[in-house]
Amino acid sequence: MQGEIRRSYLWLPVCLLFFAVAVMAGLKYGSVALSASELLDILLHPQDAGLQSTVVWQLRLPRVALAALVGMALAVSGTVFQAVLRNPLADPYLLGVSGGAALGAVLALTFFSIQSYAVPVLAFSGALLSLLLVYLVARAHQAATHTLILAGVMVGSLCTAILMFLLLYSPSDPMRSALFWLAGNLSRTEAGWLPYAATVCTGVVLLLWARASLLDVFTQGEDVAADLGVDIGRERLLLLAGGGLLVAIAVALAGLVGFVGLVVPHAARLLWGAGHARLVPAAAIAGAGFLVAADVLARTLLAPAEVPVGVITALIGAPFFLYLLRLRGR
Amino acid sequence: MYTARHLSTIVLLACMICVWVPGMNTFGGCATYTDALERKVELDEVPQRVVSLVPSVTETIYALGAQAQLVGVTDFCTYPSAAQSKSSVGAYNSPSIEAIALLEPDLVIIAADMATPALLDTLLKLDIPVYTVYPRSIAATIAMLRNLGLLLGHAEEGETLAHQLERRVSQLRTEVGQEQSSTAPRVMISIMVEPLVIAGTDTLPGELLASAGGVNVAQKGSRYPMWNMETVLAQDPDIIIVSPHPGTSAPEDFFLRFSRLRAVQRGMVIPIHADWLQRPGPRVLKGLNALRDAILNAKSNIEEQGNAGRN
Repeated sequence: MQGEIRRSYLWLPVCLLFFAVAVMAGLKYGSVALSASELLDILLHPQDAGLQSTVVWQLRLPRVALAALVGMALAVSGTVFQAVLRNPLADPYLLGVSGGAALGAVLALTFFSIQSYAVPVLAFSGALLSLLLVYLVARAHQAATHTLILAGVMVGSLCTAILMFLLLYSPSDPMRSALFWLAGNLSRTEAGWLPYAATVCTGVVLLLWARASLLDVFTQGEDVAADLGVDIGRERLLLLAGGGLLVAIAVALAGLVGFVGLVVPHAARLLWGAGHARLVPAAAIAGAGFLVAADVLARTLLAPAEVPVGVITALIGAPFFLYLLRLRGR
Repeated sequence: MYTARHLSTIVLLACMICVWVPGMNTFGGCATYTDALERKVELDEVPQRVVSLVPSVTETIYALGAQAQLVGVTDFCTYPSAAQSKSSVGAYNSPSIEAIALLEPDLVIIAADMATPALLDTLLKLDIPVYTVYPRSIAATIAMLRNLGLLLGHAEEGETLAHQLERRVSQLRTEVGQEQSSTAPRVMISIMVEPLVIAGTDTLPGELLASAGGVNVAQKGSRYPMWNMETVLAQDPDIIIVSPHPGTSAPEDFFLRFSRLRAVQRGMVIPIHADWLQRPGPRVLKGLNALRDAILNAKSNIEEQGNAGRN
C-alpha cells in the first residue's frame, strides 16, 4: 500500500482524493449533526432556509473554502522557500512575515475593533512591509541566503518585541482577541473577500509552477544555477516575493496557521520526489486538503468550543512527518 | 493602680473580641476585618490612603462617596471617569510595587483571584495592609458593598447600596416566582464575539440572568464556555445579550448576519454595557434591570406573536 501511494504517477489521483474526502468531511461534520444523504440534499437545494442548510451554506462552505485557500497558499510558499533558501527548516514565516503580520493585526486590534476590516488589511500590510525591509537589507548582499534568513529573523524579533509592548498596554479583551487571532483562526470568514484572494493566490501559484524548473535549479545549489546563466539574485527575489505574497494573503485571511507550510512540502517531496513540476501542484492540493481536514478536527474535538487550528496542524502534522521520515529510511 | 489594671482588662477584652468575633469589630481605635481569603486585616484607624487594584472596587469607592480616601488606581479603573485622574500604579494584573509603595498607602485592596501569592507577600513584607475581595456572585457583591462601606468609614452609604440591590433581587424573586417557568425566554449572554465566549450559569452575568427570570442556554461546560456559531444556530435563543466594550463597539453585528436566528428576526439582540453585567459593583443593579426589561420585552413579543398566530 505504501509502495502504491508512492508511485509517482499516482500523485494527482491521491492528492485529489485526499482533498475531496477532506472537503466532504468539512461539510458533513460539526456541532449540527448531518447525514450523508441530508448533506447531498442540501447541496442540491441551495434555496432551502432550514437550520442545516444555513449551517452548510453560511458557515461550513465558506470555511472549507477559506481553509483550502490558506492551506494551498502556505504549502506552496513553503515549497518555494525551502527550495530557494535551500533550507529544510524554512517555512513561510521565516522571513519575518509572521512578525510583521502579527504586529499589523495587533495594531488594528488596539486602535480599531476586531470586526473591522482593519485587521486583515493591516496584517497584510505588516507582512508586506517586513518582507520589503528584509529585501532592502538583503539586497545589499546580492540577497545571499544566510543574509535573507538572518534579516528575516531579526525583523521578526523586532516586530515581536513591539507586539509584546503593545499587548502589555492593551486591555484584556482586545488582547484575548489578538491572541486568539494569532493562534490561527478560520472562523472569521469575510466571504466577500474570498473570490479576490482566491484569484490572486491561484495566479501566483500558477506563476510559481511555471518556474518549476528554476526551483529545481536552485535546489541543486547556487553554483549550478550560476553556471546555467541564471541571474541568481533577481530570480531569487522574484520567487521569494511570490511566496511572500501568498503568505501575506494567508495571514490576512486566517492569522498565523503554523506547520502547514513546513510539513506539507516535505511530505509531498518524500512521497513523490523533489521535481518541482510535480511538487508545486502536489503541495498545493495536499496543503488545501490538509488544512481542511485539520479544521474539521479543530471544530469537532472539543465542540461546541474550537481548538485553534494551528494546534491541530502541529498535532497531526508532526507525527505524520516523523512517520514519513522513517518510511524514507527503508 | 486600680485604674491601670481596669484599663488593661478593657484593652484585653477589646483585643479578644477583635480576634474571636468574625467579620468586623471596632473597639476604640482597633478594628479587624475578615477578607475574601479569610485573612484577618487589622486597622488602627479608618484608612485615608487607599490604593485599589480592582476596577469594581474603585467604582464602589466612588459610589460610597469615599473617593477622598482613594490615592491610587490601575489603568483599567475607567469608571467613573474621575477615577482616571487618580495616580495609576499600572496594569490590573501587573501593578508596579514601587508605584504602590511611593503612594504610602495605609490599605491596598486587591482581588483574590489576581492576587498571586507573590503580590500579597510583597505588599505584606513592605508593611502595607492588604484587603482582598473576590465577588463572583450577587450575594458576594452585596457583601462587598457593605464591607467596603464599613472598612472605609462609610457604613451607611454601603448599607444603602447593598440594600438597594438586595431589595431588587428579592422583588424579582417574587415576580419571577409567579411567572410560568415554561414561558421563560431562553437567553444567551455573549461576553465577547471573537472568540465567541458565553456566560455560563455559575457566573455573575449568569446569576443576574436567572434572577431576572431568564433561562441560560449555556447550561453545560465551563463557567465561560467558548461556542461556535453552529451551536448558537442550533440553540436559537430567544434573546441574545451582547456586551459592547472599547475593543468591540457593535458586537450585535456579529449575530445580525444570521437572519435565521429567532433573536435577530424579533429584534432581540440586545447590547448591555459589559460593566453592568460583569463588574461586581453598584452598577450590577442597572444590569439586572436591563436584563429584566429585555426579558419582559421578549415575553410580550412572544405573546403577541402567539395571539397573531391564533387570529
